Amino acid sequence: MLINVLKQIKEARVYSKPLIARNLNVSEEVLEDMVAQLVRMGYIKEDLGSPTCESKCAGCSISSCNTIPIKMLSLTPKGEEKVKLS
Amino acid sequence: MYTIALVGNPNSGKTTLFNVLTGSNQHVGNWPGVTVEKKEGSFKHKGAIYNVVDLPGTYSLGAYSEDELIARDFVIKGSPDVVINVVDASNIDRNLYLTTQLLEMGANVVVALNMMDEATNKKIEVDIQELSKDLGVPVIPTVAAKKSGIEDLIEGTINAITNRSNNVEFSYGPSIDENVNRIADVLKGMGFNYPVKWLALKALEGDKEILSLIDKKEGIGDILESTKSDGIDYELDIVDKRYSFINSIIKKGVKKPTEEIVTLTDKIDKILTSRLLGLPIFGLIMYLVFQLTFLVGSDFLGGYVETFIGFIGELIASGLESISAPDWVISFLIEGAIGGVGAVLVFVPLIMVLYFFLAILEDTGYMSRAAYIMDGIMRAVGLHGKTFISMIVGFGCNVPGIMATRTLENKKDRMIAILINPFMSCGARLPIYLVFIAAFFPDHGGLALFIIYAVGIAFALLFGKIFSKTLFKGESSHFIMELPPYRMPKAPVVLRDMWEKVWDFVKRAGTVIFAVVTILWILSVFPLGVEPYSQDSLLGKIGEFIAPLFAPAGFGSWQASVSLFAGIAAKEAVVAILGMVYAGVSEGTELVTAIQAAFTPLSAVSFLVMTLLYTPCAAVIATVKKETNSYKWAIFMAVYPFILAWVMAVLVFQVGSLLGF
Repeated sequence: MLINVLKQIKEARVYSKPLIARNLNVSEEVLEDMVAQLVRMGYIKEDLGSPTCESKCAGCSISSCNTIPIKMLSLTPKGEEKVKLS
Repeated sequence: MYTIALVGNPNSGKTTLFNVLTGSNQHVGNWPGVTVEKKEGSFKHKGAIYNVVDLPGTYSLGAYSEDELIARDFVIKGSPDVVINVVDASNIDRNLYLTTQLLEMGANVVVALNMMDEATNKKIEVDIQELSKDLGVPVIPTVAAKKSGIEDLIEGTINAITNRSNNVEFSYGPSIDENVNRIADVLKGMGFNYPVKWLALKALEGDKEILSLIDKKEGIGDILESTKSDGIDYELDIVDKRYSFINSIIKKGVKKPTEEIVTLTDKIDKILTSRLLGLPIFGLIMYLVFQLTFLVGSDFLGGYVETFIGFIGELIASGLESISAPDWVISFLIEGAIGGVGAVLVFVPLIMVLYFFLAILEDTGYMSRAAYIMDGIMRAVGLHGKTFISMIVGFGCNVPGIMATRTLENKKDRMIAILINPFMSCGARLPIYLVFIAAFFPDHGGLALFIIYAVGIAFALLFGKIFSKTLFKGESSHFIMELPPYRMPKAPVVLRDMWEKVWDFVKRAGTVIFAVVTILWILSVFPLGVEPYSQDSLLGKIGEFIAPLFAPAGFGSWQASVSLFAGIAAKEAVVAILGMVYAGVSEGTELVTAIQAAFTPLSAVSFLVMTLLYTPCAAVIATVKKETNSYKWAIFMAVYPFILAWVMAVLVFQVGSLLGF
């Protein structure tokens, strides 16, 4: 199952939870959980396109300038290797 | 006394259940050696006392966080008589991963299937008996928040103390099972406080905590070493088996309402993100946003702030005159502070309306689509798709826009994204555009603003392409963007988002712009004795020195030159200085009239091109230095946009003049 998630993320044009969950025949919740696991295990990198600041947002004069949470997923070299070998 | 541990995902209702079970008999402390809160309590049932420990909420029992380690250590070393696994029935799929891990550990588990009311509301049906059979442990439905099912849970838990029922035998496939047994056989009799099969499994999974505990033991290291060359990814395969187990349980014991095969989001996306129509629709939406901004912000709301600032100015002036304040104080406050800062603040309504519409687009989920549409174009010109995310952020302010490039792993992608970000028109440049549009293109405000933003994006793409072909060559990595479902925008979210941005703008006007205006006001009245704001003042001399440089672009006046110079400190300062240096003229329509007299439509366009493309503000240059750790790139960032802007402004003016504009 997990290898198929990696393949979908490598090949899909967008990360559409309903679509990928349908393709894998799992619920969206399980897909979400599997992606979170793969992130924790270092196969997928997830980011929100946000500045990764050392300082906290509270009190920052430019904190409100970044409020577009666009989630992006990509395979890490470990994930790429796994897909390549499968 | 018996001990019961409560384990569950965050937000599964675990703490509510703990409170219901223990009432006021609870105390809070810390887990040894960490700052994580430990809640303990007790309840009495049929004469016996039961101690209840509320373990930290966690999604799994790996070694990824302190909470996970505390929870799993207590389940194993704390030897609770029963572990109540609180499962959110309305989100059962996600919660069962933790259940699976508890079963692997051999814990005496009772599942409290909580939030059954929410599951019912979501039309989720759970076959309790089937679920209990598949998991091999008692499953008791509860609604802790309504104290429903609590008696059954207590009875079930007490019954489990004497009738332990966790009898699920997991299989991870022949190879993994074989190695689990090999390691477990070696570990037997070594006196560990852990179930040996679980230790073996975690060791194969690569759990660092467990490895540090056992890999020095005789025989273990050799087995683990031999598994490295057998071509099995133990970590991935073991987790995979857990999900297969969960999926099979869900398929058998949980019924959910059939989801639409093609959702409304799918239908909308088919049009909005289509290869053919996506970009034109995005352009049209942005055009409409700008049009509406002018319609609402300028025509309906435009005059109020201007009138208010004028009123405040008059009030302060008459107050100062009545107390015979020195001329320089009146000059500073009225012409400097109010004239300068006020010139920026009069655009608050327009900015507010623009950010309101952008916040609506964000909250509906459309901005993700915009990024997705642009992603294709970015890739086509050799840029990484993520670059557009930093560009969108740059529309607010280029400083976080440049910081957002940190998500680009590849140095080549990141450098390009940094160098093109200032072509995105930040909020600070908006007042410049607005004052010139009000002066020369009042009937086509939306279109003019749309063109300015579009030209900025076009230059960013052009220079991205140039940089990727010259300075930074290489391949970009692949990624996918999440397209969340569309939703109706929520007024509090939209208004808060808009307010935060507008408040930032106002704060900057009151701090940074005020400071810049103060310095430039001093320059405008010195040396003493000269006519303030005249060509003879220090400010005038500076402007006069720079002015010839801009003469070929059609705006070679000392006022325009000095405002561009001030814009390098902060872009809002351009309008603030224009407001101040046109002595006697201050904000709003008076400034607009002064600009109409000082510029022609052609030189105004040329000036707009200059301000769109030229050197970003000092904060951006400092950020480039910090992010690239290089003075070279900071200087490059200051110089190349200036040269480009100058060339383009001169081209616009000279070609326009030749064409008779």
